[in-house]
Amino acid sequence: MKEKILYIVVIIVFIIALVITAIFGLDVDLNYAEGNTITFTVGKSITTEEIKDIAQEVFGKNKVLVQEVELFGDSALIKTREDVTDEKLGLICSKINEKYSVELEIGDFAVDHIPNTKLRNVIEPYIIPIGLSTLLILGFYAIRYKGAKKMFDIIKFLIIAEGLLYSLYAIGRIKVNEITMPIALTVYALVILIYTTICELKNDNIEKKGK
Amino acid sequence: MKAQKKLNVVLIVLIIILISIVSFVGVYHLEKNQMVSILPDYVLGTNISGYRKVTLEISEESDESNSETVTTNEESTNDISENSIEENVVEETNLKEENSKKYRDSAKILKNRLKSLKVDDFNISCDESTGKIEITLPENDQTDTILSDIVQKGNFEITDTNTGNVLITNDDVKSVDVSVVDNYGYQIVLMSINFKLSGANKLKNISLDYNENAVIETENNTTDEISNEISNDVLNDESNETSNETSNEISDETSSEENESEEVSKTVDLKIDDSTLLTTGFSKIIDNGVLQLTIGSSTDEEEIKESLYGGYNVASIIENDPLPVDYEVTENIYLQGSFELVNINIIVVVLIIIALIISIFMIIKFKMKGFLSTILSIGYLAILLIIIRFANVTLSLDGVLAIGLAFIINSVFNYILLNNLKNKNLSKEERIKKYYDAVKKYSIILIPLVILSIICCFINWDKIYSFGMIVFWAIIISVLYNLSVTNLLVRNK
Repeated sequence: MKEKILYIVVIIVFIIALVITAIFGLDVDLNYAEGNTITFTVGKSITTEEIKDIAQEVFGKNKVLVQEVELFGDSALIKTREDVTDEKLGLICSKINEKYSVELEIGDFAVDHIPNTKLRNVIEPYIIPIGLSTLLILGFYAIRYKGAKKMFDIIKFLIIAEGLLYSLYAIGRIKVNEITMPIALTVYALVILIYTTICELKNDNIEKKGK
Repeated sequence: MKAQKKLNVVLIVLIIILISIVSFVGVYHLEKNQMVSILPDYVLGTNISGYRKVTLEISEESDESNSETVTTNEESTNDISENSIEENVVEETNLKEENSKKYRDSAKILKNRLKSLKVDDFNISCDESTGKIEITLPENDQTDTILSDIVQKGNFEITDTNTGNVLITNDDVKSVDVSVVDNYGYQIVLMSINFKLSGANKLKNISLDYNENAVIETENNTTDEISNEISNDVLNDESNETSNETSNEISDETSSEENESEEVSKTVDLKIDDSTLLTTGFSKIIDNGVLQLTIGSSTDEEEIKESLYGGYNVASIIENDPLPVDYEVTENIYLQGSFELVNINIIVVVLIIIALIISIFMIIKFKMKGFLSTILSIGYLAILLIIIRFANVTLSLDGVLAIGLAFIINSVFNYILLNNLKNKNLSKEERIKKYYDAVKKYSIILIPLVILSIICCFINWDKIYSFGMIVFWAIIISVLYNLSVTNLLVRNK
């Protein structure tokens, strides 16, 4: 009975997550999102933290991504979802000039519009290894535990675990970023490890009782 | 005896602590007034260290021709607008859709080219309204060569040198292989263009028509001899029937062309985007559908590497469709790790918390034995990290999480073992038997993860490969570690 209630709750959570995704989509991190980039070279040693502070003053907190460009430590790239108007660009220019005592002009800042990264492209490389592994692991389960029950169980638990992870991202509006797929892959491996351990320990108990 | 056993346990624990210090803190020596680590650095993946970002935009020439089309369309639609504004709108929408499709196709072709080049860990995004494409790819010694040809339109053609007639295009190509052949220390880079069935037939006809021997013989006006010579060639590969047919065809063709090309050498040009790669004739009939070309030869490793990379580039262009739009590189920069360092620290902190929770659980459940198992797990992790450094395993974000998974994997063994050794009144023999039971069970539990890790190791994608390699090493080291160190502890308890 408890199990049934649990499954019903899980299904409801999945449906809510799917509805939210259908209406609002998943919340993607700035790195994957469509936006504008500003690339510039200061000519003096800079840190991403300093540039981030300046960019946040202009575009707002948590609305920028700053990366160091090339290896000389004097160039940076700011990415933001906000519009980069001449006014805002001028503000960044003056703040950088003030901070590093340089005389940059607006023309020294290259502004570019960047298209979004399709999540399909992020997920795609994982499909073949996960699919192939799942098939072979199911084969192992069929041989080791003689029958289809454990096979179906592991599929069920994988769907529940990955589904809950997806629901967490969709309902909790957690940003999908570069760590999302590694987490999904680790959860996949963990579910398999834990379930196989449980099966083996159960087998052990059955053997002991048999003796 | 009991004191000796205790001393052994203390000694093992001390060795583990020493290994942990070496792994987590490092060993340094003074070199040129600088402290240099003896251990090799971690090889970081693109999502941690950095990557190349390239922006492609529609080239001005292509843009101009596009705008011309738009203008002519507008002009014509202006005329039409007098009759119907609706038609005008529909045409504009169609044009936009057509362009969007072209841009999408371009991104897809570039993606296929990078896949053909076996570039791992790339990402392509396309702005369907402007056609702008952004590519991120890993930084290595192949990156610049790849980028030098990435915007080539890629119209591959084999044409008649004299008349310019197009004989073969990209559509006829199935795949292209590039390989290095060693010829007594002299290395040759070969490119094999494999044609589809239709392409193979065309190639066979071309190799007949443009046969160098045939030309010479034509000049001598000895048609019969040609037929014999070629049929002899063909005989090596095909049945008599085919060879007779072929020789008949050749004799017919040569007779008909005798007057036209008596003193003109018949050669073909291999072209990409109208620039000639190679002009060649054929010395024998190619009936296997594979055109083999030598694209470089040297004894110098670097030169061979350059030819090989260049060959891969040409291969990726030839075996994929040409780009429907002309592109130019407008930005080409190296970006340091997109994932800010602070976030990696958060991941590491989360992993440490998980390890702490597992350790506390083990200590509460198994008391002193649980504490010893925690020390064993720390030692295991330390050895794993040292091996990762020495084995040059790429550490991506997936790999970092795989290290956390490794800790859990080893904790599973500790749990099974301590569960087996719960009974305090076990004799040494019983303890060892229980230990081997645990090892056996653990080995079975690891099989699914071995499958996963081996498959991931074969994936040519930095992140997944890193995960696979670390899990694979984690399993190997865990088994060896538990067969040696843990075994020693069990025997000395």
